[in-house]
Amino acid sequence: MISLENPEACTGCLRCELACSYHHTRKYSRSHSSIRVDKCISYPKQGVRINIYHTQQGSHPPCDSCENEEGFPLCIQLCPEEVFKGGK
Amino acid sequence: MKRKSYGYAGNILRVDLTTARHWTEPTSNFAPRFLGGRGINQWILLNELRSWVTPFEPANILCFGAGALTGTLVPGASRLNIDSKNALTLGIGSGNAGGWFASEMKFAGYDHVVVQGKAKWPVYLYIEDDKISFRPARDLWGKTTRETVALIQQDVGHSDVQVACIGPAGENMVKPACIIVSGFRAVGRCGLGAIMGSKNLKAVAVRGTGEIELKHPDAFMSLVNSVSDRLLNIPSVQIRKKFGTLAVGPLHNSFSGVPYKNFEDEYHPQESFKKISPEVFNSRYQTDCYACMACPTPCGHSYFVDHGRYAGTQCLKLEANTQLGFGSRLGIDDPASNLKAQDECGLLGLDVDNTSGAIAWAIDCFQNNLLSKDDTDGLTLNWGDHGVLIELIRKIAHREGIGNLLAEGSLKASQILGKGSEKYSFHIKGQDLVEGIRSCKGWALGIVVSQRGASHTRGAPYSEFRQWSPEESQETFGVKTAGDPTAYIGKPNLVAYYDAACALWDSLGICFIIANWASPEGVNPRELGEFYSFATGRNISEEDLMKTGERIHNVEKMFNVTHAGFTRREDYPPKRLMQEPIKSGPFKGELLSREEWDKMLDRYYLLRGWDQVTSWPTTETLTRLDLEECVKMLENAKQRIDGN
Repeated sequence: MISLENPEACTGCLRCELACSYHHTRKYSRSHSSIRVDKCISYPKQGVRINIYHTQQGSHPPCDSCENEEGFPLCIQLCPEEVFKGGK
Repeated sequence: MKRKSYGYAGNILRVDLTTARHWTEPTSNFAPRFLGGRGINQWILLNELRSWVTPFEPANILCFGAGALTGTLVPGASRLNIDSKNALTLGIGSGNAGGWFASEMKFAGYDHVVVQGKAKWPVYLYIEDDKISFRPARDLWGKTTRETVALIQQDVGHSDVQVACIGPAGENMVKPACIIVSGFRAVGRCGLGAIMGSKNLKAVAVRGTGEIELKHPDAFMSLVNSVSDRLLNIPSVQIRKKFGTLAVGPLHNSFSGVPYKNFEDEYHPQESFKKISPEVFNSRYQTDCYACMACPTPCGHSYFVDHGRYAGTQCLKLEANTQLGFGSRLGIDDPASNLKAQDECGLLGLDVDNTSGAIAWAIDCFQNNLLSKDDTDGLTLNWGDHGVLIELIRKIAHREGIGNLLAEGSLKASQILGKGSEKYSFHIKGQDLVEGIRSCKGWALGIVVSQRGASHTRGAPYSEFRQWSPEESQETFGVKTAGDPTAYIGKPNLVAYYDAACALWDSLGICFIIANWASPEGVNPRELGEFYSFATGRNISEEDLMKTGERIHNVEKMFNVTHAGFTRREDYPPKRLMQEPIKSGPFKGELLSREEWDKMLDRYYLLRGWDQVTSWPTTETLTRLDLEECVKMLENAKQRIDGN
């Protein structure tokens, strides 16, 4: 189960979303990812909100902790800020 | 009809604002020869724009191009290139920005959006996958860029819509107007915001739910992992994460390379410069840090001023250009005023470099009694006085009083004023010079021969500041002097490497900070070739990729030949930088030798296969680069010269 370890560190690069869509489809997109990062860069709402879907939400498939991938789940591998934690 | 092709979205969206029509064509018509982004944009402009069309005519074309690798996980592949006819030089107009707009374009199904014509009234273009709409923008006209983004989010009902928009400066066709992308990134130079304003186009907004398919996704991902891990350990990349591009300010000052008081010197006295050091911005004002799409090394810092005269200022991005342009160039060492000036420029949609250049020119003129308080709406213009700076920025954006003169850019303003004021306009081909160039000779050559006018992102090497070793230099450029700032010899080789490499990065959508510009360990052309081959299935070698970069560079040269008539004469630095040495700092006494400059130009043209007298490409060069269509253009241009 993937969960958030350090969401404050998120920089909004969306590498987790692309990595997740690659896991599910072997393509890159924002709409076929189990993670959705919403960011607001201007005040007063400045910040990033991260959702991890554990059930199907529209086009977003549920997180399966990257079963069948080698090594760690891809969001953990690709996030440079160590925002996520968890395993298979 | 939507088309799919590996690595690409597959479509170019064509838009005619005059008739409110749109249609698509396949990206594959252009991709094999010009990759994407800047390459395809420039080829479309060269072929479709008549040389007599002026920048603000409806017939001018404005191209938005996502890089060929944008939308994937290649580190730093976030970039958007916007191209048109240059409002300041009449040659190529070209600018590049990060953010999240370009990838959203590709997810919507478009590699490029090419806009022609002029809307009857203010509109914004909304792209949501297959749905294209021209929406009224009367309520947006006059709004700041931040207000515009918020209103568009409300209008379309999605907070995740990506927006490229202009502020009041672009609406007023102010020559230094820029286009603000994703709320805080700027496609700054060449007056592209003014061109957007001339078309009554307030914004392009895009939302995409599609995907990018690669030919060899697993091999691609494996390379993404290995390159990402390496990048995170490169010192020049790490320092960007802490300070953004601000980190280079002190570095440039230590090379006597900042435009202090409009180039009176190129060294900002240390005690004063310390007050606007990266550490000051970082410790006193920084609030957060953002990365562009797919970038593992965030450099987009935001700041808030909570006390003093500028309390309440929120600045979403600060580059070294602000520190050097609104700081050193104007003799100002108040950091909060730098943040306020940057924020005003962002909100009003003004390019920091061309705006600070015009203001520096005005101060120089005032100090030398060429402008008086009668000309400046009662303002006294002094070096170091940030009190009038914000008012001048607002006047420029709204073309009020003295601002109407400065809104033409420093060169045109000096031509209007006359009285010898031209000597205070430091420009290349009509676009303001912001970089100190007397100490590092390769840096100087790259900035001066830049085809869009003064610019350090079109071929200027960074190796002199980072003092690459002779071995690293030899391996990449075939000469040993890349790390030796004052050497002239060998520097044309560096520029002839980076002008092609920069064209490549801007066409693939790669950020300079990630590429092998600041550091030899950055992503190199061999790796880019592998990324592109895995993505598209079209195998391309490092050599072919660099040749493609050179081809794009020559396409731009042909635009400058046919539209602006530029020759060797436009490839010289401002005279004063060849006559007056640097007055202080570690490189005191350095200037640019006219004789050595001539030798560098001779060598550079030889390496490029360009004529020594005209600087134009030879027929052989165009043929070698598979640009046979350009041979006829070249002959016509020669006939025009002979006819005159």
